[in-house]
Amino acid sequence: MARDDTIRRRTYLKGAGAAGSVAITGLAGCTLGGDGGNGGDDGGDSGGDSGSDGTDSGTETTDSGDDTTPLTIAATVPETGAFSSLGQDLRRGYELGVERMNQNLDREVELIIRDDESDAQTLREQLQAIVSNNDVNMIWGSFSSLLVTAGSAFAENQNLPFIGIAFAYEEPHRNDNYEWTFAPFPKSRDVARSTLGTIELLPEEDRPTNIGIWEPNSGWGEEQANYWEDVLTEAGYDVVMREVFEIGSSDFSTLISQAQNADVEALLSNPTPGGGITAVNQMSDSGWAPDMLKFVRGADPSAWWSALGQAGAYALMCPGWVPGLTGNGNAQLRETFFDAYDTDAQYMPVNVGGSYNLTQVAEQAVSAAGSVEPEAVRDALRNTEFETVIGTFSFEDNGLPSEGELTAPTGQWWDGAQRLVFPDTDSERALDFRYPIPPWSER
Amino acid sequence: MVASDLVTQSIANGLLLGGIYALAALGLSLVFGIMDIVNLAHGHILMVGAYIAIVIFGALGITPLVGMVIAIGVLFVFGVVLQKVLLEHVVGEGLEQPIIVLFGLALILQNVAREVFGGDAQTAGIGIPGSGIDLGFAFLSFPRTVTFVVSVLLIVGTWAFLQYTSTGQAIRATAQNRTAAKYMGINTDRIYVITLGIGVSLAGAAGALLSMIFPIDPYIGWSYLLTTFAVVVLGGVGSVLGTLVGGLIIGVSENLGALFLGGGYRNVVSLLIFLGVLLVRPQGLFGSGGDS
Amino acid sequence: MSLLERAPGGSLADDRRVQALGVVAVLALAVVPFVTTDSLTGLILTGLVYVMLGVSWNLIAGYAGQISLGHAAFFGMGAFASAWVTTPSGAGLPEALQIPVVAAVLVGGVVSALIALVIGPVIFRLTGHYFAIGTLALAAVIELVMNDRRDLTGGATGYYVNADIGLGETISHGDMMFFLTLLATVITVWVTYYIVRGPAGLGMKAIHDDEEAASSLGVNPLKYKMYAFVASSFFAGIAGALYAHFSLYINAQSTLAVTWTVDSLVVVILGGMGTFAGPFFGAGLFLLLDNGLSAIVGGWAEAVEGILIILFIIFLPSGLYGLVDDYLVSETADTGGEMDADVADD
Repeated sequence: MARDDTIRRRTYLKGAGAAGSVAITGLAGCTLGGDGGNGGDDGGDSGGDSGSDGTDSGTETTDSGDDTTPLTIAATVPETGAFSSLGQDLRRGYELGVERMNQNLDREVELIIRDDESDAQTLREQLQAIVSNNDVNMIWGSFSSLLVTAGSAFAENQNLPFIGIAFAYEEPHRNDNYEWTFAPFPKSRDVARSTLGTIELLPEEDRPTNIGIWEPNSGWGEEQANYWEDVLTEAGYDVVMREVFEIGSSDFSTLISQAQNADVEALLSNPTPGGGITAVNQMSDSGWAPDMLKFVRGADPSAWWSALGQAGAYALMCPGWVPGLTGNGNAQLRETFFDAYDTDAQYMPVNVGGSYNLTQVAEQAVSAAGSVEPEAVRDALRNTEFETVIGTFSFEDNGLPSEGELTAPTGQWWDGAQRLVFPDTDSERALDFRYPIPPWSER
Repeated sequence: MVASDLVTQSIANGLLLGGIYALAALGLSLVFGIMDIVNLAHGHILMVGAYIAIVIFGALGITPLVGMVIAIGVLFVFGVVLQKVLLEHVVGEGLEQPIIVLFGLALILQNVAREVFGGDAQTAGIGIPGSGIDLGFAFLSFPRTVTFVVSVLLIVGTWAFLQYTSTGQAIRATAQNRTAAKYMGINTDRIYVITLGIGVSLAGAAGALLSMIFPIDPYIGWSYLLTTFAVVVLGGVGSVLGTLVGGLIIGVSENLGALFLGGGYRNVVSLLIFLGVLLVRPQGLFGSGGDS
Repeated sequence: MSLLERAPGGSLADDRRVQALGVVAVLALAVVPFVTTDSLTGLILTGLVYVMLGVSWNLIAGYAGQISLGHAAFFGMGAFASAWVTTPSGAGLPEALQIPVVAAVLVGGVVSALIALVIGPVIFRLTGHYFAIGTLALAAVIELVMNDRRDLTGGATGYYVNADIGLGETISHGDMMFFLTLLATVITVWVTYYIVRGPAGLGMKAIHDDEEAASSLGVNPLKYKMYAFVASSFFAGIAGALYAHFSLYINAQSTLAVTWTVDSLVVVILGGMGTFAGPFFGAGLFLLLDNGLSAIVGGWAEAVEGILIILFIIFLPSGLYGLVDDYLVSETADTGGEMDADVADD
């Protein structure tokens, strides 16, 4: 079926102070929509009149005579559309981070978030609206290379520091003369290496040898497929299938037949969450499953398990952060998360960690710069070594994390949670890599 | 080189899918043939049928096969109301008016669906146990096989209704010549109401069946409109049998297109076939000429 | 009694006061970038793009009577063609192709017009419903193929346009794009006015009213359909090119999407189909609805638009312009005849 995006693009919130935007200020009490409440998406109602009510906050302890210009951050998250299942996780990571930043920094930190509807055009319009109406001095990204590149293009245009996660695409860093964009996130090359590392956790005789790649029709799709093909071929694996598919396509039957026909044992792809879920459902209908399944981005959201249940078990993902990582503030993150949000889950959603890591980078950069001036912050981003929940790293001038400093963690869905399988840590939240995926009839 | 069992598998998948496409297109074809209206909201009505099945499945766990029956009932009433309240004002008012009114309806349905169900894709799942059939040269997935069989049964049922009941005969008479039908004492206004009711409820049935196979979101309307229109043009406006054949052709060509040209061309192939037929033989492969 | 008067058979636009009103409106728009925020400037720029889309779609649909549902294809192809020549690197084209934005906008229009010229003779073999649905399918094919051509459009990633025609600190790129769009809108309106007032306009009207009769009177329907189609596509292409260089980001799935056809159609229907002033009223109302409605009805804005379209077409087929015309304009004499030439007649 023609999968045209049609009316999806339509936005209505181009103007100023539109409903649905929310500002988080320094007031610890009201930041998280009340303690103990479900803390969910109830934030959406407090739009518009932010900023001013942050001034009477009692939490600022220091008033050094230095520069205390507030840090005003513009951000969008996908709360509707193809990536909507991630919106809440990103928002929570940001909220926890902003609260921590308000405690640690000698300035007020304000975050203005809007819904980008998972659409690059809307994202741009929303950022434009926020920047027009506020003294923004930093921008935070959305989810996936499709959206983050849109935010970054805007920031480059406005000369504002931009930090984005869930953004593995490397090519724009190299070819679009990035000056303001920084991605504290494992990149395509790291994802490919992590995939190899995960396979090599297995005893040599058990490892899958036939690799299949489903390549989405996007720039990142091609880049990731190239890295996978190169890294795995070099390590002696056979790439027996590589087929392009349309993002948003809903019929995977042809790809499934092709994979089955080529005896694919390890299937690698980077679909959207909706696409990944549909693909697994259709594998189940066709009675075929690979031995190992890695869906980067596709298997990131909690929606994966709520939609698929046990059928979603065994799936691997590479979301930048996975429960099981340790050090660099991981313990504090876990504590504040379970304090702030009332949840039955034992494990945190992965993208909370990724976005929290983003806020750590922002905080350390502003702290190092001692200013919120865009140039100063950019230079600090270029020259500081960052310690965040995903690791210790610095940036190249084009905003890529310096090569080799970050290990992309690979997680696996197991009993309703995403848990770290690679690299090996001694955390009790890590998991032994479960392999192979049993046939559907035995699940 | 493409292996031969991949080809047979793709053809099998295409035929199974084509059956639902045919059902989805049948209502559009009947309304176009009988009332001379292109229902631009047809795809959106299909979406409504799918959501009815999804809601029933989600809330009660009842299989969408039952949801389909409910969708047929609800949408028949919807079609009757639509004809009486809106379309009666614009039928015979020239070309633009009905098109634009239905266009407006499509916008409304899409917006309502987005507000009620959110923008995320949802699926229903078949909700009854069963396993696929392995034919050796092809594997027939269980939900796709069931939906195919149900689709064909509904198409045959519609054909029998038109052929053998007095209402069906009145509908066909009206399609051939409205004025003559009127002179023969047929209440053509009533026939229009029934036709739109049937056309719309068939779309809803197809939507309910599709919810078992594909994710449904509020924006699927336009693409299904194009697919079903392609089927109608191929099969010939108003021809039940032609619609079935047209559906199968589109289903198979989509799957072979994806296999040989890559996933991005799944829909391009069927649209090109559609445009080609439209230009060369606007009455359809099986139509018997006639007016536009 | 009435605010405006009109000579029988004359056009409202011949009225001095209307002309003066137009000049005032353009001047008022010209100061927009200096007195509002970037965000509001962008909004009004979008409104001008709607005017261009509406005026151009009105030419093919309202005047020539060919309900094309493929307008988005020309808008989008104009956007991509212009982006290829300002940012050739994005599509892997040699840097030597790079030309200034103003020239690129023209390229966008010309490419769209050429596409129309090539497909016109084929697609005009279809009439009525078949033409409508055929153009819809054609636009879908173009969108799908372009989306698949990752090398040319960036696929799902989209295409980032590099352009900066701002003048230092004082006038930003967005503001310059606004002036360019305003200029293009004025030219579009002016040229279209002369087309519909001239012999070609009469030809179009003749085939709209009764193609067979026109044909038997020696009017060649294809000629006038093509005239309208090519001109309409040219202006849609220009609109797309301007939009691309304002937003600096285009994506096959959204820039070529049916949405733009819907927007064009809504603008024209709300304003008054087949009336010259209709698209202005329509674009204004549409912009107001699009942005104002969401404040009142939230996410239901689209449904309200749908309801308005239906109500307008049933109860007010001549659109807002018809309303204005009925209440605010009287004719100096009541002689019958052709004076309502510019009000839709079916």
